[in-house]
This record gives sequence, C-alpha cells and structure tokens, in this order.
Amino acid sequence: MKELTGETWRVGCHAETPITGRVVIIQSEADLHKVCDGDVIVANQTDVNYTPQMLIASAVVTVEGGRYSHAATFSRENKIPCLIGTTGIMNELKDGDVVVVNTRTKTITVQETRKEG
Amino acid sequence: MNRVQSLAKMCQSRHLSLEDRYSITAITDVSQMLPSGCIESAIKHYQGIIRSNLWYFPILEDVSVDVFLHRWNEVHESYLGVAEEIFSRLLKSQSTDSLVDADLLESVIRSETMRGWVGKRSPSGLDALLNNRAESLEELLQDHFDSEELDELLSVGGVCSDAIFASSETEMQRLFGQYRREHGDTNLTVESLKESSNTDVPVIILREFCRYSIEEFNKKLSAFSRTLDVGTKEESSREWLTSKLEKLSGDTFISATKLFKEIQVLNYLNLNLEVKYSFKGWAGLMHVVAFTACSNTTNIPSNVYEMHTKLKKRGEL
Repeated sequence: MKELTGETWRVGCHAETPITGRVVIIQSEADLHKVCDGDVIVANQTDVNYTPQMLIASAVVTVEGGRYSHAATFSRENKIPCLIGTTGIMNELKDGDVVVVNTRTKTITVQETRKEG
Repeated sequence: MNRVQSLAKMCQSRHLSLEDRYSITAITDVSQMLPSGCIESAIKHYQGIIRSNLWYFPILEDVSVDVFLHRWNEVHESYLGVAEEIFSRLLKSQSTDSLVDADLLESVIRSETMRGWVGKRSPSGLDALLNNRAESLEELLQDHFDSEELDELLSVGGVCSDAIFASSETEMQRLFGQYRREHGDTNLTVESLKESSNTDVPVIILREFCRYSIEEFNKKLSAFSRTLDVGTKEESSREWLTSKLEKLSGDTFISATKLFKEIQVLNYLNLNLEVKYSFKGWAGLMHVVAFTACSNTTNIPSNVYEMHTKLKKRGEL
C-alpha cells in the first residue's frame, strides 16, 4: 500500500470514517461522463460543470485550490469529503485505482492499483 | 452587499439586452454550430492559453473592494462587448473562419488582458484582494480562537450563503431542481424555447450555466437526474458566525465584521458572478473560440502574439 500525503492543507468537509472508492481522473469536462456513484473524483480543480458528478462522488481530491475554491466551498455545503492542494496527485493515480481518502489525517492511501491491459 | 447585488443586476441586464437584440434562439443556434467538443473543452483550453502567455496589464497597489467592483464591472462590460462582436461574425458567416482576422485577434487579446487584470493571476486581481483580506482577518482573530475553530470560522464565515448569495453550483442545482418539478426529465428543445420568456428557468439556466447551449442543458439535466433531491445543505451559518463574533471586544469586533463582509462580497463575485459572466461563461466561450480559430489557421498552439504577427503578415501580402 502506498500513502500519498502531498501538501494537502485544506479539508472541504470531514468524513467521520475514511472513504474507500475507485479513482476517476478528470482532466476536463469531457471526462465527467466516467464518474459513477461512489467514485473518488481526482482533478486539477473543479468548476460549476462538475456539480452533478460531485454530488454522486464519495470524495473529491484536487491539486489546486484553497479555503474558498469551488471544490472546497461546494463540498462543505454538501458534506462531500474533500482534500484540496494535493500536489502531484494527478501523476500518482490513474483511473480504476482504489484509494482510501482520510480527511482527518489528510492522506490518500492507494489500496489497489488497477492492472494495465 | 448592495453594491455586489447591483453588479449582479448589471451583468444580467447586459445579457438580457443581448438576447433582445438577437433572440435567444439565434444565440443558442450559434452555440450549437460550434465544432464538436468545443464547449466541454473550452475552460481547459482557455486556461492553457491564459497560462502560456504573458499578459501586459497594469499593476496597482491594493484598492478598496468598492473600487475593485467598479473596475471589474467596467472590464466585464467591454469583455461582453468583444464577445458580442465574435458572436455576430459567427451568426453572419456560420463559420469560425470569419474569426481568423488580425484586427479581431488584437481586440480579443486586449479584452483578455483586461479580464486577466481583475482575475485570478493578477497581483491587482480578485484572488489577490481576497487573500489579502483573509490574511488580515486570520491575523486579527488568531489570538481569540484556537486554530481549528479559526479555520472553521474563516471557511464558513467567508462564504455565508443564503438564497441570494449562494455559490454558482448551489444556484444551478436549485434551478435544475425547479425545472424538473415543472417539466420532469423532458429535454429542452428549440421549439419549447421559442415560447419561453427571458425570466423563465430554462432561459436563466442556459444563460448562466450552459453558455447558451441546449445540448449542454440536456446533458446537465440528465447528469442531475439522480442527485437533485438528495442534497444535505448546511444550515444557515449566519447565526453561528454572529454568536462567535459577539465574543470579541469592540474594535476587534468592528474590524472583523468589516473584513468578513468584504470577504463574503469577494467570494460571491468569485464563486458566482465570475462563473456566469467571465471566462467560464458564454463571453469566455466566444473568446476561446476566436483564439482556437486563429490557432488552427496559423498552426501556433497557444502563443497569441505569434498568432497575431502571422495573421498580420498574411493580411499584408
């Protein structure tokens, strides 16, 4: 198991227990159709167009943003567990990996890596 | 808050005038004729252009929030004006080729420069102003609350939301919920739009959240279908914030209250009005369509100044 701590420094919303889910990498709006119920959205940042998908995700993880970013604000309003400012995460994870997002410790643990092919 | 409310009304009224001049169906037709994938890649593409060019805007020292709101309004009035020029060329020609023009590109570069001046990456822009106020507030309150409580106070208090000052995400969710209560899961069509007035929910959603694209509207409606009724919104945070601030002494209370109000105004601008009326909205879509047309013709991926030089030379031949 690999643990990514990055430079996570803001939490949109605390989840009482760590969240386990399948990673979906969102490079742009064109990838949003890949998100299914319970997935963990991993994106550079989010914007208004991510709203429906954020509502069905189990957690949201972004590279950019801060206390008042779209991801942090919307997650807080809707009690979606969220980690902001996880530098390098887009290169560390890929679609289908299974991760544990812990908003208390501000860590993401890779539980299962998707096999290529 | 009155100032930012009137700013919101001015932005909306400029779009209503645009719709009156051209008709909502003419505007949606143009969004519909754009190349496939253009709208869903527009924000990412635009960010690529913003980040890979230098923008020569003036740098000012910190200004008051009122002065900034005034400047933001003026910049976005002319930003929409340039968007309208791009739109009218598309409407007339039905082709993005009509945007490949050195003079138009010059206007678009100038327009983006001014937008960038009040935007995220400018030292005189929205984020700079917001960070400045947030840092001052944090400094002011750090001796009065423990770090966890202070973090919560700044996070929740900075975006005190209600029916009027909600984030764009919350507002869009509410509007789609209203659409579904009135129309079920029925897709929006050009025909149904012809019977709508500019204050009807579908037109508001198209204008503010779908860059006037019916396809975008229907895609979002479908994506929302499982989620609109399950929201678990936070209770209003105003009372909680007031109860915390009441513990502060006179001067600190006055300064903190002023900073919180300024942060709330700037956050509303950032999380709501920017989304609808700046580069992520329809006006931004028009700008990025013009950049893309020039990029495709000149074979220059993102350097807007090189594109301009190449087009200028081509025009002189």
